[in-house]
Amino acid sequence: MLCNVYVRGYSIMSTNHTDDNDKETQKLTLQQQSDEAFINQLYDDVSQEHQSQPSELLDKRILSAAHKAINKSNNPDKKSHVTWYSTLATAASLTLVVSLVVLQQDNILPNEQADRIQVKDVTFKKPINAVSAKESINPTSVKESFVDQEVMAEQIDYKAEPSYSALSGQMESSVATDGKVAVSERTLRATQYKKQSNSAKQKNIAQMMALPPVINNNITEIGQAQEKDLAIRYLSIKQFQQYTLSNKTLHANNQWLWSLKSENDMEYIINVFQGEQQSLAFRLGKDNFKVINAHQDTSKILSLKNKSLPKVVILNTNN
Amino acid sequence: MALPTDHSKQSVADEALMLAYAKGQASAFDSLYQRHKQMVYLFFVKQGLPIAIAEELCHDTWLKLINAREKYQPQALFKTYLFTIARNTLIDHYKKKSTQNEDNYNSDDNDLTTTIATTQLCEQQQTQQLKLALSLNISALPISQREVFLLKQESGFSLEQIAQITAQHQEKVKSSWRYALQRLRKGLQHYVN
Repeated sequence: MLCNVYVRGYSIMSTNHTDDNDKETQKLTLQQQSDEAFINQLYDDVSQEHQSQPSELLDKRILSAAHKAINKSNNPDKKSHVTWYSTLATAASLTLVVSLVVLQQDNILPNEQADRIQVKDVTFKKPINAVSAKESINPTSVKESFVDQEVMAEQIDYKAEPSYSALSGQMESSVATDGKVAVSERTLRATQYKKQSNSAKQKNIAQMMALPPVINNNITEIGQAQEKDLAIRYLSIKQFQQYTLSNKTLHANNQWLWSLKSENDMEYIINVFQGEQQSLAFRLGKDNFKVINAHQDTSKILSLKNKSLPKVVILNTNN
Repeated sequence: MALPTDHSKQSVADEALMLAYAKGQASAFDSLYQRHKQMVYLFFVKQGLPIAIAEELCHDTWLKLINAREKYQPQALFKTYLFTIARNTLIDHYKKKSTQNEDNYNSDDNDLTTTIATTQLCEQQQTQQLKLALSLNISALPISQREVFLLKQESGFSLEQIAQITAQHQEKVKSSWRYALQRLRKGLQHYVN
């Protein structure tokens, strides 16, 4: 029973609440309708006036854009897509290749420089100052020594220049009467000569840099051999006399105790054979000794050593 | 299905015209544009924007429609689709503009409204003045109320359609509509009678 009373009371309360809401909603709706009527009336008053339109220029712009879009989709430009992709791919590939080459050059540059130094050493015949490729090379010092030698070569060129200028000066003094012309001509010639010498020098360097690896290696070997020759001791007069006697005996049997290994402007280098497999190398100064080919026919092969070394007779020029 | 070349008659639905345009029939767009160009234009003009900006936004709206022609699907009314684009264009424009500029613009409008209200003009000019006052009061509305008001009053959309265009709940749209009406009535009360 209490429950029924409570339910009835709640239902009465909720009914009152719903009524209030309805009234409020109705009030709002009426208000809104009134507002709408007010605005509509305003719009009716205003709409008698001519409504504004977008400009003709705007109409043309929009319509032409619409037509262009359709024409473009009907005739798709496939070429442009292909070109775009292919261009991008080519550019990316080129960038990759160039970067790889640059990186690779950075890695191999020190060794190439060492080879070039040895080439220069051989050319200048200054093996004492040569930098061996076998030694550990500091790229900076190598570069500096390379530059120093370049400077020396340049100085030599400039030393040669005054003699040429003097000669041209003599010629000019006998022929030319205008001193200014003579001076300017001399200056011009000197400049040309300097340019020629510089260009020739650059050409030599470029040629050396362009040498193939095989030639570089050969030149390196020559440089190493020259360096090795420096460690060879000189042949004493006493040793020479002993070896001369022995060689005479062997020579009768067409056998030779020694052979010429190499020579340069100052000295010879000979091999003196100690047995079938052993030999000693000696240096002979050209001031004291003279080496003569024993036979014109160099095709004959030494019997002591299975090597094609020239047979020689060594004379002591001091005696 | 090819549509007849003359689309000027209202018998061909907007949605069919848009589909025809998407398939490459350029003349279908001409008909669509003739039908809706003024409504879109007024939607921007009534925002209180200068004519040049309104035209630029109008141009952007139609260009977006052109570019999105292949994505169009006739699930909703074409008009709803068009005004969704127009509304997004307007929002983009407001985002670009600084808030300060917009506030200055609105405050200038309010000052102008007051000036107009206090000036007594001859009866012939009153209609023109009422039109100006109406547009100024509309532009003084908050953005959310203004767009709902314009979409309903100017473009004739239902509240349900506006909810679809603005991606809002219908109750919120209804509330915006009511508040917009109240504000406009309050601002334009002394122009009536």
